Amino acid sequence: MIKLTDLTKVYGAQTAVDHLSLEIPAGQIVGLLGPNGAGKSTTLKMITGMLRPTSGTVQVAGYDATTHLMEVKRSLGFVPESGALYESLTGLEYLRMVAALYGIEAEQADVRIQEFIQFFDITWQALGEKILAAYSKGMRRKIVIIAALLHNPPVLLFDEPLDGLDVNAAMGFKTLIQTLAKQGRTIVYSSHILDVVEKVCHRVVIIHQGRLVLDGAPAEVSAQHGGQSLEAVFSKLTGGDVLREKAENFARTFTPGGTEQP
Amino acid sequence: MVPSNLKVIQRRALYTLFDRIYKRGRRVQWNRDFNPEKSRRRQWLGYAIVVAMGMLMVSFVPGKTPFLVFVTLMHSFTTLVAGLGVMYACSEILFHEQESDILLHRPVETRLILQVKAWVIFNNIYLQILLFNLLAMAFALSRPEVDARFLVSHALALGLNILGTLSFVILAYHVCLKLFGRERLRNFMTTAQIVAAFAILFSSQASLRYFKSIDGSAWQPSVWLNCFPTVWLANLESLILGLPRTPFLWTGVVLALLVPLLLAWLALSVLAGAYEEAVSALNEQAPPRRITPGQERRWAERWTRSWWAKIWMRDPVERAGFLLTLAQVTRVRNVKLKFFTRLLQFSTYPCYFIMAGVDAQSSWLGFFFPGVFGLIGYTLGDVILHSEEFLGADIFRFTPLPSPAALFYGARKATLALAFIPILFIWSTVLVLLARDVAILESLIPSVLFGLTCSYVPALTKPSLIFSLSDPVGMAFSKGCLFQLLPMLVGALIGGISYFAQQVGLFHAWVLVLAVGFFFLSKFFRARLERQPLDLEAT
Repeated sequence: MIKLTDLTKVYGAQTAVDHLSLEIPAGQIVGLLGPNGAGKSTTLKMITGMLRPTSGTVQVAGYDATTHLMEVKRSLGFVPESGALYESLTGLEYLRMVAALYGIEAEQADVRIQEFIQFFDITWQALGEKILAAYSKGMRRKIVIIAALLHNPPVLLFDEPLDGLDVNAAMGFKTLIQTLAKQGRTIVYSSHILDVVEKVCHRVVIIHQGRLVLDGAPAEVSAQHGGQSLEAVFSKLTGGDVLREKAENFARTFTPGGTEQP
Repeated sequence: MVPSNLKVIQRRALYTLFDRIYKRGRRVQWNRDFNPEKSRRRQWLGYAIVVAMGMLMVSFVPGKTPFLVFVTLMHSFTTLVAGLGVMYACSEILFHEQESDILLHRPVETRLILQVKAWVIFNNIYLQILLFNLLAMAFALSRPEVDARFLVSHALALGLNILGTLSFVILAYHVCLKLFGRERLRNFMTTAQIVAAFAILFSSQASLRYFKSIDGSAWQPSVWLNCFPTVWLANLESLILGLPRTPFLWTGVVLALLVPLLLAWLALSVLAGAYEEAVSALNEQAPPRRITPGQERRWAERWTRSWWAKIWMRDPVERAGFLLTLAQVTRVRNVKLKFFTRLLQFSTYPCYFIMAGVDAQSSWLGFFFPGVFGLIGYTLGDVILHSEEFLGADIFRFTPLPSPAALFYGARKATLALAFIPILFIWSTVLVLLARDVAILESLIPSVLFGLTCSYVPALTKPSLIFSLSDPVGMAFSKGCLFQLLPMLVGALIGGISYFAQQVGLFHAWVLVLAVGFFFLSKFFRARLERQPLDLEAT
């Protein structure tokens, strides 16, 4: 469903994504991991067509992103990390606008929106009367998620989708994506919360400095590394294992009443 | 299944979206009680204010001038007002930093987004400008050579005026992107905006001053007048009204039709590809750029640690406000844009007086200045309240500051040092050169006192922390006009009294009264600012 071949993105002297090749079949949830600046968001944006690769190819649902960009975009639902919205619109205005961009007429869109808001515990009144700026962080996240799923795409890309969601909403969301994967949808799930990735994803991919450093099922990864947790493996592969000592040393510099000036 | 009319559906949806964003403005993001219905009612009030503001144009355009001069003045005035409107609408709507995360991964062509945005800006500014011209159009009907056709010709010419201005600004963005590339896009876009804004303001002001000075009785237009785009539009209107058809007129008509359409074709079609690059570039996570503070910034930091800076700004919070203002003014796109456009605009005002033929006898000019200095003070005080990085002001809300006053004082002092004093220096030099007498400088004292006092007003009318408000667009046009008019009117009154005081030999006494009055008024303003609570989230 998603095929990345030698995907590379270079900014000036820095290579953000370095010859990344990856194939994700239908029905699989892939956890995309990596430290900050590893190239996860850049990879996701190249898959969506928001960024043009410096070299390499992206194929989504059989379409090449270079030659059939609109078909690729139609096959995708994307939740960006920023959770950006037009905050001066009401939730309903925003979702109707998004639906229209996929050619869904307002009446048809309203039916679908009703189904989503029921699932996410949002009232029609709140959706239609309040502007998005007045929503809580969790509510805004829900709107971004609805906007990604509204057109029923076969491929879903999530970049930190749980950010701001409460425990119940997060649990509902995790169940939802697992069910969607069972129905044959391809899901890429990028996150820093390794516990969730370990539980939800069929496969884990770790990127470090733009390169693929690990690819496998969570259980296999753990077994290959002497039964270590995913967190420990991640730290080892991305150079984070020295951080614990560094943090302990730094914490010692905090003296009692440390904010007072001498 | 993709519907066959997908583009129509998309165009309609995008138009509704950007029209709402334009009319509501980004400011509503911070008005949690925002009510779309109430906003629509307010919009009508805004339109009524714009119509009333048209009185300005009626009072400025003399009736007994040749038709060509009359209409050129109307267009110059229009361009002056519309130019900034277009500029700010473009800066707010064309490049929304997070837009790529919202729209670019959806199946919609970026070219379509650009065209719809341009159409929204055009329609909204056109409507406002048409309303702004309404009274002057009615006034024009009393002229002998004008009949009902003028309403059509003027509406058409205004449309071409806005189309040309808008396309020029969009084209400036595209050219900057092509010339300077993605990495330096942000900086160059701002510079392009400043230059384009200044070009529009300066040319329309110059054309206003020139045509205002024309003596109508025996005036004949020469071909070189077609250097003014506003004259092209006046020629087009003369043709529609059936006035004598000369080669001069035909040249203008051809240019009036050709140039805006050519600019629009270039901006919205030929170079539209550059827009896609620009929108995605604004959101690209480029490698972390090593930011080294500029020489001026290091200098400023050193200076704020000096003993004399500590005398001028005793409170460290004031000094922090001063440094923050310096950073905002030199690095943040919309602050930079407003600040430098205004700085250029105000610094070049004296040129218009020279163009209008002011000479050594024109000592009255010093008394005309309080209105303009009031406007400068008010504008500078207002600039330091707004920023596209307004969320950053939250940091002050967590601090144990008793009020936003100290930060405001520091920011105000930064604008005094960076803008008020340089502008004052330029004006003083021009005045002395014009009058060939240093004594004329004393006539500037009322202006300076009034300007300094006016700089407190925005913080009192919009109680906020510095750089904590997002920029208003859309209907803010009418409010903006109103707020700018008030210091001008009060200043004109002060200027009038100053002139009278000089004529009766009481000027020095009057200056003393003003100095004492403004001292206590400033004290009163400062006391009110210091009583403002810090938690101003609702603003």
